[in-house]
Amino acid sequence: MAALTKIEIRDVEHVYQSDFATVAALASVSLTVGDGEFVALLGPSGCGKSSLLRIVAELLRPTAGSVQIFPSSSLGQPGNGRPKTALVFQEYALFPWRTVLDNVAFPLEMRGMPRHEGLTRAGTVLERVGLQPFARAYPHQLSGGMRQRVGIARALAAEPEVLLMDEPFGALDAQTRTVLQEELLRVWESERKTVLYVTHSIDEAVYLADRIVLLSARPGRIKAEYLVDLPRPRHMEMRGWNSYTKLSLDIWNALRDEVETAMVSEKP
Amino acid sequence: MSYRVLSREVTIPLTTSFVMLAVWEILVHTGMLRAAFFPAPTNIAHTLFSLALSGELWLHIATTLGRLIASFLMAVIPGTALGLSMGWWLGWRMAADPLVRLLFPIPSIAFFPVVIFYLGLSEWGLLLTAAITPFLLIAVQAAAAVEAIERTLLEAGRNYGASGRRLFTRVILPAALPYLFIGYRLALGVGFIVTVAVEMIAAKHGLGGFLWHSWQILRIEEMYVGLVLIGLLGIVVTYGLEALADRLMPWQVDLLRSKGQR
Repeated sequence: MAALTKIEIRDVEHVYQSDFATVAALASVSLTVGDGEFVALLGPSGCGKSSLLRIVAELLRPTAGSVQIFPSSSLGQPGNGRPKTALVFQEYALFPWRTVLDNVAFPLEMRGMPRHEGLTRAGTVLERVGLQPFARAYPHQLSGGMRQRVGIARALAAEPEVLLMDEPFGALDAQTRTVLQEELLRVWESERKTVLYVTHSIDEAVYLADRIVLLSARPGRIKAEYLVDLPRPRHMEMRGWNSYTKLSLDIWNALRDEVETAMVSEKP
Repeated sequence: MSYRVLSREVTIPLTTSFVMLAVWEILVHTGMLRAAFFPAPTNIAHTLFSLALSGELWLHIATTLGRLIASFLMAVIPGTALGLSMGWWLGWRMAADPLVRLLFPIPSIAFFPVVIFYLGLSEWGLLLTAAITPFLLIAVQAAAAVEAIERTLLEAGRNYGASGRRLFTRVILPAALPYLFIGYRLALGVGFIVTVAVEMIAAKHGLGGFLWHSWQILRIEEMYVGLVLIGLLGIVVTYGLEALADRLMPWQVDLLRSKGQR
């Protein structure tokens, strides 16, 4: 689909030393993500999908291989300080000592934007996700769903080349999760930012993504890829469509073996 | 918090204090407590006011408060620096750990002979003695504070562009601050005990010295005045630290206060 390559992951391996053993988390993963593509990484727990995301975010150094992110020419001039990635965490990872507004302004502050300008921009982002009334609140005063809205707003305010999401709705109850999935779809469908989205929910992957990459049990390698050819904008009713159900079942059949393998393999 | 709860927070402790003092007073006046050992609260209060009017008391209070603050600062600054380093760099931790572990269990007052052996019976000797255990306590707590920082907060800080010094000032320090203050509160308590103890041994001025002197010349009312003032000063400095914590950490109001409401 997308003509331009945004992320190129080449032969990435990750091996780390736990207290008891050397653990191979990722074994030679290669993946190309197009500009504006929404790719979901799906796999059993412990398959290294979060590690892969952290390698793309440059929080982890791969044992071998490389990751390249190509800056866009249309969205901004080179050297304007836009970060390559912005990560949305399952545990929100908001700074408890900062108000909602200051949390969202954090990435702008870090790239040296004058405080006033940063706060104005952060305010604009808050408005877009409907958080303006909570700008002065502290994270602990908000519910989980609201906190993750702030987490997403912070990532959007950073204006990254690539948005990375690590099971962002995994800690939320089912209803809140559905609402936030809808919101994410609306925001994404209007911006078409490149997204790499880690999840263990097949339903979530099918509902949100253009393409689903299935990782095997540890050491994680790419087992299969699925194109989701549901039209955009996506909506709830599609969950009842035959193609939706069929794809979900196909993926589950491929995933089941990996889940079994992951369950019996030793914990690192 | 409702008005009702707030008023109960005031009325219950006031009532119990008043009742205890009244019972004491009555026991003394009926002769069930000997006034020579347990002077009546009204007598103690009377002595307190006359000493306050003479001006002598204020010197003692100011001296003890000054010593407490000075020794506390001598503990806080290097203690925090060492502790944060120990928490962040494994090398620092391994290097400092044996020394900290060895010195930590020694009661601070036990350092006094050693300290005055080097520094003489000087003001510096007093301050240093009162600073040693608080320093170790703060260092241990600060190291634990850094280790307790959630990994994802550091990841968020890094991913959103903080590194080096800015990672320290914008992420590590504020994330550690609540735990640091828990250490500061404990250290202040220990520092207060040692300050008064050292004053009793070696100082003419200060509340500890005043208390000891009153006992030696058997001015029992004055002895009690010393106790009361030491208690009040403890309350005041604790409250001061709590107020500072609230001011520095508006996201953590009442961190150092337990409310017992559950």
